Amino acid sequence: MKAINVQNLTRDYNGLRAVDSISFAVEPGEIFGFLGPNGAGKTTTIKMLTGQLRPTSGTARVAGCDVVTERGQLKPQIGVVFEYQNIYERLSARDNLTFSARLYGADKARVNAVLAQVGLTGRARDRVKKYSNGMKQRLLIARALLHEPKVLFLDEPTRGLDPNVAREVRAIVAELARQGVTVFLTTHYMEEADQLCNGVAIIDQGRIVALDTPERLKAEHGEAERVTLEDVFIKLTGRYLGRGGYE
Amino acid sequence: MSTTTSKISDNLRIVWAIAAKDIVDAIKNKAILSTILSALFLMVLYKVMPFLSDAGSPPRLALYDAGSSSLVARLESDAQIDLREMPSRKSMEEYLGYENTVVLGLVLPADFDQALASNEQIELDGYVEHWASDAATGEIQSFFEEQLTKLTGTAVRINIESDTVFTQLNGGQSFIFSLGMIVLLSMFGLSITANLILEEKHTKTLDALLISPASGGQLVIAKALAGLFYCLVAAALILAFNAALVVHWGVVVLGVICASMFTVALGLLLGSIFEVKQQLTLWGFILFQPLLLPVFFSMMDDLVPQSVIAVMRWIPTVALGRVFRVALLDRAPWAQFGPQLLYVAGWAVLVLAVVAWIVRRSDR
Repeated sequence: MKAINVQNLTRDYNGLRAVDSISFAVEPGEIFGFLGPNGAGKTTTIKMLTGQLRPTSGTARVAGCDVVTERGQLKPQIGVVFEYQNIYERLSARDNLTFSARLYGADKARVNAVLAQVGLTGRARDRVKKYSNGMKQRLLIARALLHEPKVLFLDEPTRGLDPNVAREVRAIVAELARQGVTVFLTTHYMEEADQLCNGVAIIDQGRIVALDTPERLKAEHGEAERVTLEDVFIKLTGRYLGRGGYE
Repeated sequence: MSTTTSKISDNLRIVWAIAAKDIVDAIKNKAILSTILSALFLMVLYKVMPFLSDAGSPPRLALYDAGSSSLVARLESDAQIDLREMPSRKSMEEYLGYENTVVLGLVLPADFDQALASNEQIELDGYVEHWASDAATGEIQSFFEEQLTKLTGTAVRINIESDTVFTQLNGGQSFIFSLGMIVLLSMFGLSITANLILEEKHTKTLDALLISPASGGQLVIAKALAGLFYCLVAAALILAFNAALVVHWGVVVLGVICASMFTVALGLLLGSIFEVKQQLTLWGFILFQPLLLPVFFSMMDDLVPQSVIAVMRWIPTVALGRVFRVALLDRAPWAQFGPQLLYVAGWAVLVLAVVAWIVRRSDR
């Protein structure tokens, strides 16, 4: 069974097609990169796959659950790290996680486990408002992992983080995949996608314009050693401006 | 059967988790904390104001003289006494029922002057409001016993009947109690509940809640519970300050429940509709005017035309005001407060239905 299976997924907003009949599948334990320029339809797709938004047409199954008809069963199977740091800042990290544990009916022992997993045990009692961006991001990941989801959605998890913290976050993601968690990742950092992902989809104007492993995509668009995933991304999604390059 | 039990248990767990988080977190929220503190300040101010305005005034005596006693003239000329003559025992009792401070009601029997002439100790019937404390009653009793003994040259004893004079429906204490109850419950229910929802929207923690096992309905119920908790805290504080006033606790409890449900439902509605705090502040203020001002004006039946008062009675907060005032009367038959309670409960259900519709409509 595929961890994520999407068939002709479409979403319209007031007559505008944000996501246009996309199809792809993600294997269990895979890190799948979903790449695209701003406004390409990445977040809309994540919202549909996590049950926050109803598709206009098409189907999607995540962890074996239909995202429309089995939304209740889907929720405990997925974890989401949003593109913004939506956490209760007046509460401590431990209180935030204890609250989430109650919502999911997770064992309280998981709170300590995930705090240790993201390296926040020593600061667990501090209010989150005192945390750095990197610590908050690690806490968001801890929250998403608390109930041991089968599929983890990460919406630009390293945006705005300093290189050291971004590397820590990437290490956590890689470790999760080794443990069998399927990761659906959106990012603007092509190097990150190249480094982490087993498979990538590039979406532009709501349509998938490329879907393969990073290696095969690079090979397809030039010699794999010289072409980067960023080159492929710009070639597929940028508008050519003549000799100056791509927009 | 076990699936149903498990579903109920899951629902309760989720609702309680969110409500408990909100109850604890609200105390740390500056906006909510300032609402609570300003409400407390208002309550203390309303409670203390009548005593401050009467500070330094001589003790007041509401006197019904049944037999044209010569004592009245002596009392009138005594600067240490604030004398109010009453045409009947009933009007004396009504006068006491309108007062905010402790006043002694006294009846001079028709044969008072003859009794004076006999030089024997005189016993008079005195009255104080039912809410007057033992200390205040004892103080005003001994003051007037001393004054009357001095003025008449005969030992005068006043027998206080403390449980016969009750607050009037539009009396001062009724006014302060009911207005305080409605203002505070509105501030707590409306403002706190709306803020709880709006903050989840503002910090986008709402998105995290909605991808968790919590549904929109559970979220609304949990927010309502947190709002109700703070309403009950507010009501408990008001009642702690005014416990002596209340005659019918059952009526007050029903009134608090209905008022809390109504104001919390309004808070949920505002929180569901608006996206930013400025909208809530503006519309909350606008909504407060038609809800609170009529409570004030509806009790001014000597200034406001009856037709206007009749219209204002249809405003839920005015109906609630009556319920709280009836709870202070000596008798509270169902007909005096029941229809008003049902009317407000109906409004609460109606507003909650609108909220449920909005949540359902916005769900994905």
